Amino acid sequence: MTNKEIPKITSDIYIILSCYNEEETLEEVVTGLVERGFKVLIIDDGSKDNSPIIARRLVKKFAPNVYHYRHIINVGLGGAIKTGIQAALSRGADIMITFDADGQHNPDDLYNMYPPLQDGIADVVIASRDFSDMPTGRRFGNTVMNYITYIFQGKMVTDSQSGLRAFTASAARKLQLKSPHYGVSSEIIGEIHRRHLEMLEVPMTTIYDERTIQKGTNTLVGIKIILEFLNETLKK
Amino acid sequence: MYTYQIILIVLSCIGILFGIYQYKKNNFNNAVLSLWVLVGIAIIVTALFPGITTVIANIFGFGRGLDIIYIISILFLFYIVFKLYNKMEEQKRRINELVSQLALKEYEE
Repeated sequence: MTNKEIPKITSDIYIILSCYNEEETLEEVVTGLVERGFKVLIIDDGSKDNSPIIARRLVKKFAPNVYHYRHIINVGLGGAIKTGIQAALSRGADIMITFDADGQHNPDDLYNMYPPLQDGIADVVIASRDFSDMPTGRRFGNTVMNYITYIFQGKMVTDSQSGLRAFTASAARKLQLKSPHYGVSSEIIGEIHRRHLEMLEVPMTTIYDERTIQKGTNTLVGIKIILEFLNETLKK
Repeated sequence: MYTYQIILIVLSCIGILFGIYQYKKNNFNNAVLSLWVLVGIAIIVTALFPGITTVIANIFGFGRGLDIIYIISILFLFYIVFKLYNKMEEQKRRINELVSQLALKEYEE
């Protein structure tokens, strides 16, 4: 994307960067985001590697644009996102965007995400992966997850497990998230539906390498998400 | 009287005493102690008069007295597991909330 095409940032945008053992990619990801003019909240979810040390160094290097929040024990993706939303709200963010620290997201994709929120066209923007680019197993799994999300959360979307989501502050305040783990992705879709938030889907480019393929939502995680939803349904 | 009846009665008595001991140590509340003692008494009564279970079983349409005890025990265990699971989930939720608040607190100070 050339400079001319980059939409102007006219609001306070915070990136909620959930991070669990990402010492290899953290610095590169944070640098890429700061260079593009975003403020970064590193939510370190109890990492056991050098991520906290790197994070603290990045806070100093990019002050006051990078902040480091550390969970003393590992909670899960949902917990990290919840902490991130609270941190962003307390810092007076206008817009917050969830982003993965493992290097699978392309920071250039953010340029599609904040303009609709700044212009008041939408409350939430979800960047959807192109399933046809995915390895077959992954494509099947994600399609199944879309249907599971539809069954339990009542809304069909192009990519229910997308990690790239942007919210306005008022939308983020309305979200009531309970799932501490990966179930949070589907839960967010459900909350968008239940709180009647205006949602927009934009395309995203995903970087697939061996590392990100190993890390993402696999079959076991999928089953865990289903069990979590079943339990929630039983409790109601 | 058969041996199994004596064993059941002795075990139940020990169980009731254990319940009272736990109550005194503040591990059991009134409700749990009452339940514990009631179950103990019920076992002693059925051990002394095994015919009762057959009467109850017939009322509910089960063949043998023992079957109804099995079924009630299994249902009771299911209930306990469900309760424990929910309690554990609640504890997990509280710990997560605590961890989150601790992380946020660092910047406030």
